[in-house]
Amino acid sequence: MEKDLVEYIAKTLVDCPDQVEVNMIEGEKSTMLELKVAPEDIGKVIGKQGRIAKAIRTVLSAASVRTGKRVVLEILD
Amino acid sequence: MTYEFTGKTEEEAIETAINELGLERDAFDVEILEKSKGIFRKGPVKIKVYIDEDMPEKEESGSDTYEITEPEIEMVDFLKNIIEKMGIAATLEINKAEENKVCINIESDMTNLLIGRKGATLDALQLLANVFISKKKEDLKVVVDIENYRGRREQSLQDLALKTARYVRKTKTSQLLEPMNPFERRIIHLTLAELNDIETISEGEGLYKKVRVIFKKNFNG
Repeated sequence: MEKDLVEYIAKTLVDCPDQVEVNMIEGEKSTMLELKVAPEDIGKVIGKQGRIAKAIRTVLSAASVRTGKRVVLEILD
Repeated sequence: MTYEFTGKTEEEAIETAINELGLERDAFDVEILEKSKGIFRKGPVKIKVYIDEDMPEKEESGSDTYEITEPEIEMVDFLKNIIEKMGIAATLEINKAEENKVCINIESDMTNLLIGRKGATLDALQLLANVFISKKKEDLKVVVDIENYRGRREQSLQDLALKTARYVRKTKTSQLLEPMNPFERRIIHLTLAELNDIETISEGEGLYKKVRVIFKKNFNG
């Protein structure tokens, strides 16, 4: 499931895995995932020029091809 | 390269070949040219030796492959878990041919999904692997590949570069290519570097820039 995927990647990359939180908001055609991490870890999930965030979104969209539902990832700060 | 040797027996002729050429036995192929007939008559045996010139003088020993360390194994597990959570079955293989570089080769039935549009998914997995390893170990580059996609992509970029060069030379103009990542742009620049009448410049900002291929108008000769 996409939620597990985001949670797993975020928890592996940050310094404070216990502060990683993912909320799923299911819509009709798309699923919204809200990722929350410790303030000092935000850079770890976004990366320079958003490279890590982009990579996570790319992996997510590949994973959601089969369900046919669009997945939107929001990183909260 | 071929040589001929003779000996009382086949083995003796091969032995002579090994000593004279200073090669390992498996570095060449042997063809028996003349052998006396009959089982009991031991006559001279003439052999022809074929040396494969592509073959390295000394066989590569195990010392040329670097040891795979704990952080690298953890990184492979990280990738494995990501792919598994994507709902894709795959097997991963790790190869380390250089000290600061590891190659992860993925095998799966869902190759298209793992490669993505223009290699986007493959690049994303590679980036995550590199981010992971940079936390544990400095100066290590991870390359993630599926079914030699990287090699095939390189070939098609080289073809594209040469085709564009021919086009701008003919029309005496310049042409802007699609956005590419640094590795892809590097292939374009390198491919066209040896053409004196062609110039390449990267345009734009950020990670994905476009390469402009330009015909040098004032080029003489």
